[in-house]
Amino acid sequence: MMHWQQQAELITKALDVWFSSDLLQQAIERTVKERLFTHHDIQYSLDQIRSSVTNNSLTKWGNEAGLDSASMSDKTILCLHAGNLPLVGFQDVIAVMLSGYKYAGKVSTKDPYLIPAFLDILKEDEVQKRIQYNHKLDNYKGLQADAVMFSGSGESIKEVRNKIKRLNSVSPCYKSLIRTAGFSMVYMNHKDKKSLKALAEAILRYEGKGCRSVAMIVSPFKPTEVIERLGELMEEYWENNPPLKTLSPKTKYRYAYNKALGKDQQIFRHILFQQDGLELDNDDIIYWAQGDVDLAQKLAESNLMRIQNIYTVTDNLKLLGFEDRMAPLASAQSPPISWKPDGFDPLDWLIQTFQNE
Amino acid sequence: MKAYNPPARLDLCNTLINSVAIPYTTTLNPKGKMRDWSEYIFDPPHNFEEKALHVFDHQFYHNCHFHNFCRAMECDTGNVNTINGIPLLPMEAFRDAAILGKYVKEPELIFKSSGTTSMKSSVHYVAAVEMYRKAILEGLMRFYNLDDLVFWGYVPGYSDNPNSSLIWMINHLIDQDDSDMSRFLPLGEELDVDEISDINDSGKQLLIFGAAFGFLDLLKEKKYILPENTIIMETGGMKTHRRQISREALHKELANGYGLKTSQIHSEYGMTELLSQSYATGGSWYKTPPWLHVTIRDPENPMTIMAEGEEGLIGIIDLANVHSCSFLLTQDVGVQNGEGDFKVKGRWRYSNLRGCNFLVEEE
Repeated sequence: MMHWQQQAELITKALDVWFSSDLLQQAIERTVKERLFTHHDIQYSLDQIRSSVTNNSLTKWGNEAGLDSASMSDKTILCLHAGNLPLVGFQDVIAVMLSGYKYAGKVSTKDPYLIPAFLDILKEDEVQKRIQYNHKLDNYKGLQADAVMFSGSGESIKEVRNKIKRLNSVSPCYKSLIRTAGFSMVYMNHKDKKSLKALAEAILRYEGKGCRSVAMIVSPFKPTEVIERLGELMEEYWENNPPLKTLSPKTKYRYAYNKALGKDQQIFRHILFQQDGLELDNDDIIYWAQGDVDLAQKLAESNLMRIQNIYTVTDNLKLLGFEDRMAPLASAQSPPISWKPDGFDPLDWLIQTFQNE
Repeated sequence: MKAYNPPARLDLCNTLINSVAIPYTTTLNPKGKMRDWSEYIFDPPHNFEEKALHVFDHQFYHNCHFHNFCRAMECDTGNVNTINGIPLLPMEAFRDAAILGKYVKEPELIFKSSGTTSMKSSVHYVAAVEMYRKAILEGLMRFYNLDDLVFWGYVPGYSDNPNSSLIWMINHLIDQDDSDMSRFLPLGEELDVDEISDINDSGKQLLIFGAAFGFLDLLKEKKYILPENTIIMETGGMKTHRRQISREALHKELANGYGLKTSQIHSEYGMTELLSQSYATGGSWYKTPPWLHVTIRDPENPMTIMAEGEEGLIGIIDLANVHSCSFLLTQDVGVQNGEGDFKVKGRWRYSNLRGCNFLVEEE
């Protein structure tokens, strides 16, 4: 088996080739043409990968996860990729590659071109015969994977488990890493332009999709003290990054409901800010809860399983029990490759899961 | 800044309030004419669409919250010509505000849903008790012969809620029966089989109202063989402290436990926010009384009606709610068949806010 650091080098080389390849360009063009994602969101995601996946960062990640002392065996990992934002499963791909296990990817129908363009380049290397991907889960009938990694929620998890068992895509005693967090929260105790600009980016990047996006704002300020300025910065963002989305009938319905009940709200294009409520049933609604750190703590606790990160604009803020989920607001949409969705480092999980087998 | 601004319109809500004290069975319609709602709503000769549009006009002018909701949805009496064009107010409005006509000075009844301490209860202010009485009796008469029935109520979960509309309904059914055999059953006691025999011997038919889990709890101690014409009417409550159970499985379990055919296990669909009830009289399809209309709505756009057999949110027009709000969107998931009957498939859950979600149906 190849040493993991050689593997890291191969990955970064493949990335270089991918970034300048026609394959990637064609994948981007098709994705944009089919209105799956905007060009700027794809570019942003690629820039993120370019800056966060380097030889150094992979070496650091591998060392921290203990790849040096790990005794790796021959395992197959089934990765079921979501498609709510461009290249969302990329971290899992790299984790499996670094671990040295066999990668079997189920590519999302909502993001069908971008990851395959990278995998095709990786596969060109003879050493990478352990890579396979498919657009249909049915094609993994009888795969007998040792582990499955995916993100889901409630009913979808049950359905996925049933289907992969029915297809024998996993072995009888398979391991699973399932991430369920749905959104992030920010404690906004500053209203300077830099903080508000970061908030606009954290709300709007990837059309507000993804569990790192901000859906809930806790702030000592009244919305009226901040909202107009924030609206201007959101408009500035949209000028540079035109959205695919428009006001949805569902959001208009909520707007009308709030209006009927006299609830405080403000709408900018398709994004609705609403005070309290916290129905959390609409991707285009941002919930504003006015209060102090205690309220932030309370809301974090009551949404324990659904919150990915809690962002701050000051360094010294800590919420008890959420220390490893705290992050600067400016990093909301630019995580390092080793970040821990739902508190799990996927590489570390792969190593620990099969350490003694 | 390009904010979304719905067209500005004069808020008529506060200018069209009837300040004259009049009985709530009769109110002014928007044209200033008196209307006896209790006769009009339950009166068969008028067709549903015509009545619904009249009620829409009435509520648009007299119900502040509904008025503001319609305005924000860009709907008013000028541009709504069919019932499908009327926006349905999310039912949680009864939790967030007092939903009633501004002319109502003092409601005759107040119903509250039972909620946990962390949940706000829904409150339904009922202006005219006569509307509820009529909705209960005339509704039930569409499906059963009231003269033949003896009503029992076994409602453990509701007995702590003095403002329960279900308790009020069962109590009304008990009161209107002059056989003296109708009553509420004491909690935690076995069914009195001698009394059931007496009812059977008298030629009457026993109908027992109760929450699903209550009926199951009664079976913990013993099983029964009830007279074959007995009807068990479950009113929901599928999620017991023991387990979640499907309606089909529940009906089988109740039929087995009470020695009845599954066709004798019936269901009632009603709630605090509605004055009318729908009934499934054997099987899982609910039928509605003529003044209640159900559609299945697209959760992503509740103005869109789903095709027959497709799942969505249950939308209800209950004309008996004339003094509160008749046009309501529930959070229940349902499907409808070609006859307009509907099935309830549980509560709507939107559990995937923003986050990644691998979905099998997208395969």
